[in-house]
Amino acid sequence: MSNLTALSLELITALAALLFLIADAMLPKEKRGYLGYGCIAFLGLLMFGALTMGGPETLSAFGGRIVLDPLALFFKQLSIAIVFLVALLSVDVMKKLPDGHGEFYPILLFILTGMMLLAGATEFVTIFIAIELISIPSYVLAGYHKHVFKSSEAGMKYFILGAFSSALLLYGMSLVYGATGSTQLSEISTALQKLPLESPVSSGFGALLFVGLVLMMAGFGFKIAAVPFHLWAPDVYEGAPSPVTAFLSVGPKAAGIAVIIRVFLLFLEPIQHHWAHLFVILAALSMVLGNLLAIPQRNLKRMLAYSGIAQIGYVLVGLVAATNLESPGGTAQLGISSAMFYMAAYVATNLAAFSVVVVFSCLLGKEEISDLKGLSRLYPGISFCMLIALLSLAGVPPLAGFMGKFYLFSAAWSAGFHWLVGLGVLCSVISLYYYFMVIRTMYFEESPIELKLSLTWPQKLALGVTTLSILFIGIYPSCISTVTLEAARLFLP
Amino acid sequence: MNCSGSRPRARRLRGEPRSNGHVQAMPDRGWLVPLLPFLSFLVIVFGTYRQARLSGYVSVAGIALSAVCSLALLGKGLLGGVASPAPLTWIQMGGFELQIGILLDPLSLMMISVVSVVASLIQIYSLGYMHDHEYSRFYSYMSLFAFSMLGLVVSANFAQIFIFWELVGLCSFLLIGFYYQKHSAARAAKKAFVVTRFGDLGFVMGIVSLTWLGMKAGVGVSDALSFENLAQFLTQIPADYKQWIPWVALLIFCGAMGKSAQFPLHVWLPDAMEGPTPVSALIHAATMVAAGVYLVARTYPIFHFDPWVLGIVAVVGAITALVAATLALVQTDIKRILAYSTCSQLGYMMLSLGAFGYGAGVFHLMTHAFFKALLFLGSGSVIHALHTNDIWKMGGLYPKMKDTSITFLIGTLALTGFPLLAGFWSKDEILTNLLHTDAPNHMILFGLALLVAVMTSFYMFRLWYLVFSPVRQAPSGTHESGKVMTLPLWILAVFSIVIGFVGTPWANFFGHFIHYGEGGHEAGFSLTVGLLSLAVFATGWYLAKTFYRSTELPYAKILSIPGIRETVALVSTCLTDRFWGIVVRGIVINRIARAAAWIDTNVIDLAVNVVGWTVKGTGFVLRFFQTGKVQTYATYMLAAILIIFFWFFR
Repeated sequence: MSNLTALSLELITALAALLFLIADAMLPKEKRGYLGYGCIAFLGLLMFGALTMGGPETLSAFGGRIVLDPLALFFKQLSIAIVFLVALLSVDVMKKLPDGHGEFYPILLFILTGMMLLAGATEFVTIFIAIELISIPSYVLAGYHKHVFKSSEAGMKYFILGAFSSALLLYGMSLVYGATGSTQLSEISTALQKLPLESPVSSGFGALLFVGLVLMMAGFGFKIAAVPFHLWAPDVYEGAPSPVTAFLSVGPKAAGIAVIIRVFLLFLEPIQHHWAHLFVILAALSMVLGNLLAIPQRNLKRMLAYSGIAQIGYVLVGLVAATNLESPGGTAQLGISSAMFYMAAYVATNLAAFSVVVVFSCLLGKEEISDLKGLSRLYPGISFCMLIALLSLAGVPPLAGFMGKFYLFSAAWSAGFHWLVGLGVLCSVISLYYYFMVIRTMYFEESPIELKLSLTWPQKLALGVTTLSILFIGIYPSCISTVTLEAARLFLP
Repeated sequence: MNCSGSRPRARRLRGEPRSNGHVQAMPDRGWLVPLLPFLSFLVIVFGTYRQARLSGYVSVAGIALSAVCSLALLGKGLLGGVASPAPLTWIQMGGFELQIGILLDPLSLMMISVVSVVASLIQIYSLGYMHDHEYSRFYSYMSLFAFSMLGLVVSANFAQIFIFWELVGLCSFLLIGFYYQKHSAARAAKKAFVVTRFGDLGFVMGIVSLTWLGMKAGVGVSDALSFENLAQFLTQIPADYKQWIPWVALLIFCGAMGKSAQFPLHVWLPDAMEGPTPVSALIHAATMVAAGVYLVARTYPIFHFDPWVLGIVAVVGAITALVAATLALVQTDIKRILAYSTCSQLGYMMLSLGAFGYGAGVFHLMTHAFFKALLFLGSGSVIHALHTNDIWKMGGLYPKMKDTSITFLIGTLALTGFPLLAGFWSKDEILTNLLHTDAPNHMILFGLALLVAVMTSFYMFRLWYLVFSPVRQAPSGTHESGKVMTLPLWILAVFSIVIGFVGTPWANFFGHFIHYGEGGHEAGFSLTVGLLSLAVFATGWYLAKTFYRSTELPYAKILSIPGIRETVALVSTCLTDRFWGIVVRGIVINRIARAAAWIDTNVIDLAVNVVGWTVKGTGFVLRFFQTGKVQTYATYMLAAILIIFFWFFR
């Protein structure tokens, strides 16, 4: 018995992707520029549709392999928002390419299909397919500027390392399947509850399971670029075309967090005292190394790559808070809710920052921090957006990033991870340094050249939407936190 | 994204009606009142900034609509059928929850009506007063101010009122420094901001202490800070902690002192007159400075908890009233006279609140808003015509500016307590209450209040005779201001005449509508007080007339008696800036600030630098792991996994 409503968004998007592919082939070359606007319009409508969906009930399809619950819906809406904003940023960049820009939009829509599928997948094979549906088009996008050496290099690196991590993930899944006899998450969960698992290494079964878990964690960790699986990120971010980097900095992370919440916090919950320590380490390492490595960076995209690694560390703090490692019977809902909230805040903030980067790099071909000198005097509007984004990333009140960190850290504190909260606050203080370096460059240094930028309406829209979202979430946080808390409550009753 | 949150928000906005009293009403659209000026602010900033005239009209339309809504709500409230809309959850993060709400009770209904009506009239007046090129900036600030002030009045809890409190402070700063090219205006703006900050520091500490008390009482943050539950919350506080309540009240009173320019934080108000005159009328006479009095009235349960706090409020009010009135006697700047007068009247209100005269204090707050706005706008009309603030350079304006003169006289009579005008009723109620109350030392306070009333009468008639009386010669070329300016004057004059009748001792509608606790024990009419206040009015008027009605000015002769001038100068400097200069320079700058600076440079900076160098160094070292080679990366990942295995299976 399958309920296709649970899959409606994915089906519509996949269909649209195919239509765009055909349209690209049919349209005369000079008219293909309109495909971008079509894609934006489609995503806007899809967003509208996704917002009207929902309700507390959980739909499931294909024998429970795919579900649509508030958690999935939240991440689906977030994915649509991400791809919508990326499409806005891409339109004018892609128009400038000599050939083949029409393929860009179907690829983007396929990725969106994968992200939405992943948010609701509850079975290993489906999860793997969804992840590959995100990853393979992403490799293509990273190398989309095929005549630019750096871009091809980025695509190649991302492809090889991505394939490597997919192999790890698949191998891990197969081991867990071997240990529990099922690929359905709910059945794995029941199997785990039945078995005595005091010590993981006491039985061959346990060893199999835990090797599988660690490998899966490595696979997911690669997607969200958490230390020590982050190494690809700076190189790929730097080389990929800027709108693609904007996508890579938020898209795979949102999807990865969604699947980690579902797989680890819901279905592997019975054995959480074994894997939760790993997430603590991942969170701590990501926060510390991400922030430290961001400091010496001179390239804006590279700096944002490390800052993204640090930010995902904060989100992992929320996931850690959702385990009851330190305080039994604690605050799982709060932890999940805070991680979801932070993800939304991060998406708005990072895309605001990348909107500026895209405008700046694609119109001028410059992406060094020092190129931003005196930007504030020439373009007060753009600089203001960048200022808001950077302050929000650094966690300055009353912006979205501050509220997110406040929420995350208070959840982690009440879950008993006091030292992790202390570390997180310390890392936020460190991060002020490199964010303020950029602000200083923009606001307190003289511009050596006269720049002439003119923004198109999609770019203005992207900048406006993201900046206002940062302010709005910061000023009225319960517009999101009520939704996330509700989702977490239904998710973990 | 924000969009994903819009669904539940819309549901909440519709809300469920909360029954209030016997009439089951639709939740009232109270949020429209502050929202309309905010919309006009947005429209001006993002839309009509280039079209000056249009910006003015947008702003006037916004505030006028807001006034209509307020009056409709007030009408509904008088019939007993206003319900506050259900509060929205503003921040909800685990155990920490804050709400944002619209509190519609008689007090706030009265305030939004006064604020929006006075603000509308003043904004219309400003269409004539301001120059075209200043319109957009001026009206955007004015709209933002109207939003903040109305938001402040309808705030449902301490956290919310504090935000609006700071917003009105910001608007006040921006508007005092409106002519920022003028050095004195920039200085005055800075001064107002810094001085009120002292008070706000206390206010913040008060709010934090209140949440602390809430924690002790086992009450959540949102309940502890709510105004509606304040009295109930105070009873829930454990007995061991009840002793702290008066201190919390005092901290909150600090905020009120800063905003309402109470001694010794009154020094910013006279300087605030550097702003455009309509701003002085709206912000520094009728509305924002009354916010402190409003705050005390709003949080009255916490003050009422222990009478000695109210005693302090009363004493501070009395001192302010006296000091400011004294200073008003010798000013030569027309706006500074009115500013000190405002200060003195605010002290009067505080005095009344402190002596259990809740209804009388709030009533005076309302009447004062009208006639003081009228007086300021009148002075603005004069300044507009003569381009000077110095009363000695004015004179004999009555024949040339009839409208302004007559309305100014009405305002003067209302302020000085001429029978049957607005100020007469409210001042009488305050005095009667002081006479009959059981507050400590009430007879001393009563005497002081009478003395202040004499002085008020004196300095106001001094002003009137010097500026308007036809005895003196008017400067040539003076002419009346345009209709757009005189019409608001006349409307305010009518209000100044009739508004007092809502609170006569025989039929005290006002007292029945707004009271604290059971109510009904208003002082009633006292013939003694009536006659005394008439005598007081007459004394002040007579003295002013003898001194200033002729061209000879015997007052000048008095000042030439040796010692008098010096004494006056000494007193006025002691009470104003000089005193603060000594305090601030001697204690704050020389002792505290120097010590803090030493610690900052030698301890904190060093620590920061050490951390900075370490962090930077680590960052540079770690960078070498990023080789750029795919093989290296894959090896690292594999190594990480192997380490995890090792850690797991050790």
